[in-house]
Amino acid sequence: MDYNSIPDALQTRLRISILSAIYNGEKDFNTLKEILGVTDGNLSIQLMKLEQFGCLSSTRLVSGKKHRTVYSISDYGRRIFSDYVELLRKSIED
Amino acid sequence: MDSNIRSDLTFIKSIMIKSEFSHKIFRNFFFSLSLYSFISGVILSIIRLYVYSDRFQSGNLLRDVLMNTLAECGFKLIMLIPILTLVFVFRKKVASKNQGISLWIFDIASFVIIFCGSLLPFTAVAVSASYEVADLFSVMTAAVCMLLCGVMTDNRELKNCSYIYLILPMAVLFIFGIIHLYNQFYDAVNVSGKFVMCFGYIKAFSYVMYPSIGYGLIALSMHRKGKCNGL
Repeated sequence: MDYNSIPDALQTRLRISILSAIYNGEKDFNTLKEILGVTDGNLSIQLMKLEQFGCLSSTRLVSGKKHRTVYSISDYGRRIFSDYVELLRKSIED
Repeated sequence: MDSNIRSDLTFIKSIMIKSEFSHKIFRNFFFSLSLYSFISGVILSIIRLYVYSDRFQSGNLLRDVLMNTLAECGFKLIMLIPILTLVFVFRKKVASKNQGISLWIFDIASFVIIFCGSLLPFTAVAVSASYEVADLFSVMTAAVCMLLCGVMTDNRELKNCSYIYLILPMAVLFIFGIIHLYNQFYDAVNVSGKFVMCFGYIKAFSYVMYPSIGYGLIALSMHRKGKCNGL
């Protein structure tokens, strides 16, 4: 990956934050909202976009009357995120 | 450009730490620990006060030292029960919520608290009947927890606080040491026994209460950081 080929999924700060937050384990919607400190609408739009890009997958869990959507990073999302961080690290070293 | 990239990397790192670290659980844990240290410190001070005042009345130093050692050891042994319960309860909470960095920070902190804060002082009191060694172990424990949480969560404020927290008792000990040396060399005969005892008691009292301030500071820092992060 180089600066000209950064995928669209990593073009906004919030999408990068979402991938950073779920990189080490799945998180539900409310936890992500707490970690990132964003509004429901903003978060759900970016989550939907990341899902369309194939960077994450969502699972809807039902416990009793409560519904919970859990988001986990996909292999593709993990790969592009690692490549992106590596690109940033290399840029500093060079 | 370079600074932008650095800030991007720092931002990613901070989000990753935030996602793995629960400030709320750690704040509650250290607040409970602070309360525990405060209560045990007050009880320990009362035991010591009794021993200090009794020492003048009975005139039997050996018996007093033995009584003191037994009382402190017994108390520390009893006080192991609440600390183990605290660690057990909070570990369960941490394990259910966060598996990554939180869990191993908690494991290291609880290991230091149980072994250096409770078990080592217990043996130090039993072996040498020395208050100061035991108390310094407790102070060290709070400082290590502070440093650990500061470094691992990238909390600069807490990290710097741990250095000051540790330097303060060292400075006080150094001053006491100098005064003690001065008394030994020049004025040992004229120093009032009561003065030395009061001096020793105040010193012991300060060291016993000091860890509770340390844990309180960690809890406060976690509370502020958690609030900042919206957690």
